[in-house]
Amino acid sequence: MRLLLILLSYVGLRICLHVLFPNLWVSLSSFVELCTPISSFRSTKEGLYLFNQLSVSPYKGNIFQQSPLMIALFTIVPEQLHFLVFTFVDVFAAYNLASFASTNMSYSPSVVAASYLFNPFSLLSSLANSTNVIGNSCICASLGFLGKKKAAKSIFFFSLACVLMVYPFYLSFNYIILAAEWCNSRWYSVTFKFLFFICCFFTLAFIPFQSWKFLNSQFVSAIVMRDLSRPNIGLWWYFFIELFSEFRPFYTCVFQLYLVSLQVPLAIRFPKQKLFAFTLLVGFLATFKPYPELSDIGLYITMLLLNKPVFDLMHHKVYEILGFVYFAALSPAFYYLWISSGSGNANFFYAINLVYAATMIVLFSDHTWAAIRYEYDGGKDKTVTQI
Amino acid sequence: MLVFILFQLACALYAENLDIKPLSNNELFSTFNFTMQQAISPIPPIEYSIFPRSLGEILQSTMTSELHIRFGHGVWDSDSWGALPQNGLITGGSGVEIWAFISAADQQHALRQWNQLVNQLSGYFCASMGFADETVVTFPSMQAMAPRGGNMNTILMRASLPAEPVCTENLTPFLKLLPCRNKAGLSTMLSGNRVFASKWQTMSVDVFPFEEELRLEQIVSLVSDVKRNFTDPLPYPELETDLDCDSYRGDGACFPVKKSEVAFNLTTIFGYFERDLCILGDAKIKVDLPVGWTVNNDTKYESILDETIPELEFVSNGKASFDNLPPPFIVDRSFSGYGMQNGGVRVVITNNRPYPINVRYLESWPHFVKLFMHTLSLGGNGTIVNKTYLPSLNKNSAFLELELEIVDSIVLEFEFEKSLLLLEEYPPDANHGFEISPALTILKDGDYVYEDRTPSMLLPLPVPDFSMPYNVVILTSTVMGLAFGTIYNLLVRDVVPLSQVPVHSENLLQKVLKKIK
Repeated sequence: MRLLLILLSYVGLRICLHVLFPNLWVSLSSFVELCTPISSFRSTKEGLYLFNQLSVSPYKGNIFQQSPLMIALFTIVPEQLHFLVFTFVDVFAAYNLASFASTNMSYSPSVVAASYLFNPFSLLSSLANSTNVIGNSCICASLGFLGKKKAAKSIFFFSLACVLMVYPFYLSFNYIILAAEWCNSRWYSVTFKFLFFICCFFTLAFIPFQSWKFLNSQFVSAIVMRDLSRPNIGLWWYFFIELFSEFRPFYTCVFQLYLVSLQVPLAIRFPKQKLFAFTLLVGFLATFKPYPELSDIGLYITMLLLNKPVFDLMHHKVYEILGFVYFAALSPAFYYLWISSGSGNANFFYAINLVYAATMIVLFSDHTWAAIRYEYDGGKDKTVTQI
Repeated sequence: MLVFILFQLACALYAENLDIKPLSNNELFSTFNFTMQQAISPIPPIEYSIFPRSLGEILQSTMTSELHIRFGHGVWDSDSWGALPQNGLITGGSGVEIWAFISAADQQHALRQWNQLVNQLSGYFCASMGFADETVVTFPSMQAMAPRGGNMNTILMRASLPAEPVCTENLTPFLKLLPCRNKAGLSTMLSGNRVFASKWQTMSVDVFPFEEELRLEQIVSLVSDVKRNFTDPLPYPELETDLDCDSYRGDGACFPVKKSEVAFNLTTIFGYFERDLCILGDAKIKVDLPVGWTVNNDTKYESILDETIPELEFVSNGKASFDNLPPPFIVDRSFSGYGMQNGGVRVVITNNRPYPINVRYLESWPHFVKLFMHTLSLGGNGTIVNKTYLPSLNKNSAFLELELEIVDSIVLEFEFEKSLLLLEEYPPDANHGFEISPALTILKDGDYVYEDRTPSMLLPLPVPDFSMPYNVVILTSTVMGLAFGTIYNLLVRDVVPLSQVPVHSENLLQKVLKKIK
């Protein structure tokens, strides 16, 4: 009942905001914290315009770097209802997270749903129409169906997330072992289903334009960070803008290796806490991928709540919240100083990126240490240490 | 041999023209037109007589059937000067603009030919035309820019380099193309310091097939500031005779004498020049005088020169009235928005004719301007008849061609995002901004064609801190190392209660401290 109330109030809020400020998303999407070149809805609109009005393939231009499925989705849905798509995926994600929460040692479903829908990071991203929330919603749906032990549906949504957003591919190893455990199936059967759905979605993505160009425009550019036109909250953009061009391929490889460095170690160290490993990786990728944005952090924070015992053992929440507040206040301010008023320079914004990354590091170590203590003795002994 | 040369010359045609017209505000408009035409046998080897062989060979090797080059600087003030000379067909926007019709199998092939062409022309005209590579070049439609020679079986390519400074070094190779160079004829009047001191100036080179022959037209047009040519560049105090002093006041309150009569001659405007004519062709001077002006005490002047270039004395009684023909339409393009992230473009095209006109509007945008064409909105009284838009791919420019039907005036608006570039893509003066090519508007009304180019625009882009590469590399690597190290440290170490931690033996520092105690 409370869950239903929360979902309905969210729908009400979105509809009210849409009626009162129909162009709110345009203003919000100019915030670099909320939208990146690969998730901005303005780019999607441009792709739709090229395809529907000018009959040009959207991949003939630099701007649209998203999945062909996005074009298909937003072509089918009439333009006046586009905001409802974002509302619906959020509600769907919250509902699925809530249903996962009810099957697990977690905070109550309504708390989880409220945390996903109303925490400022995901709420603002969704109001900015970042298409990343569609992919996040698929990840939430795959968790929700895991809770219901429906392996096929869960894998379906996870593969959809991979095809829509590229970076969930980096979670697939930990997802497969998590899904195998939750659904009591073999890892190879999960892998097989996963590969099958991936192939299906790639074929589906091929259909709208009858070409594989999207692999280059969507996947390669997301991996090598080809579009550096717009800063974001991550560590890649300034690094690759400042780097001398000879070193760019080398550091791209190093940074990509960095992103796949934790999957196996976490799986080995925490064989009994696969959900923790998955959650930590969601946060790790959200921080260190080339185009990070706040909707991913919103998802990570909500997923922390899905594991109540570990969450309760985290002891530095005050510092982390203060770090987020500091970041949330200064990031737009310093960006404004650099870009609009011209009284600051790029280093101001970069400094806040570093603060944000440092906050995330505190959060990760706190989270990991809580998981280690929970695994050791359920967190009873407060004096445990490591040697 | 002599007979052969004379025969060759007889087959060729060369003409020089100078048109002069005084404008309001003490400005003088003059156009030097050099035309040469020669029969070219379709089978090599080609015999060149007056047509410059070097240029001919460049065009032949790149299969270019038509070449048009424009150098320009300054802004044509159509409010006081009226319509552009020769309907704007000889004027260029600021910087350098090239378009060529190349015979090629496909666009890729044409692009290779084009690259060869512009690189050779780059050295030929001492301009950085080599920068007009595939990232700048656009493919306008033939409806917009039809070939003058009428050869439709070619590929039209066009590029403009708005940031190119046009200077004396471009004039020298330009004059070298003439059969008498600048040693004799009207071309001796063209000296770099006078041409480039003008308020507005444009040079054009057009090569195209014309009645089975190859025609080369070279035109220099300029608007000189007459007053500036009287004054020495060094500031001297006015002579006492030129001052009107109030003798009743002792403090020497003096003002320059107001002269109602303006008088000057060709030497004042163009400096000293040779009087001999180029014997290879005819030369003609024509002066278009408004009411109140005289040349050599005559109100009309037009003459085919026979021996020498005469001196012309221009006199105005100061009561001249200028009735300039207004241009058929006026294009005004400007940026909107502020800050380094979002921007917009606003184009206003005003129709000066009493009936609706049909124009083509062409512009190209470099890759660092991310155009959002879905925001294109149309205001005013008119419609978009046809729309071609090629978005920017990789580093290539975006190209927009619109066919517009304008009743009285039309307002086009669209938005864009300014992008950050890589460190090495910024020029040394990154904070100066980036030049955006002029937009070209073409009106075709039967045989009447009028072209107009907007001024180029300066777009500031966001810039990183150029001194930071080392700092960014070490700071980012430190933070990433910190994250990795922290998590790995937690993963690999054993977990024990504090009571079971084995006591370490004392380290060096503790030993020293104990000794001190």
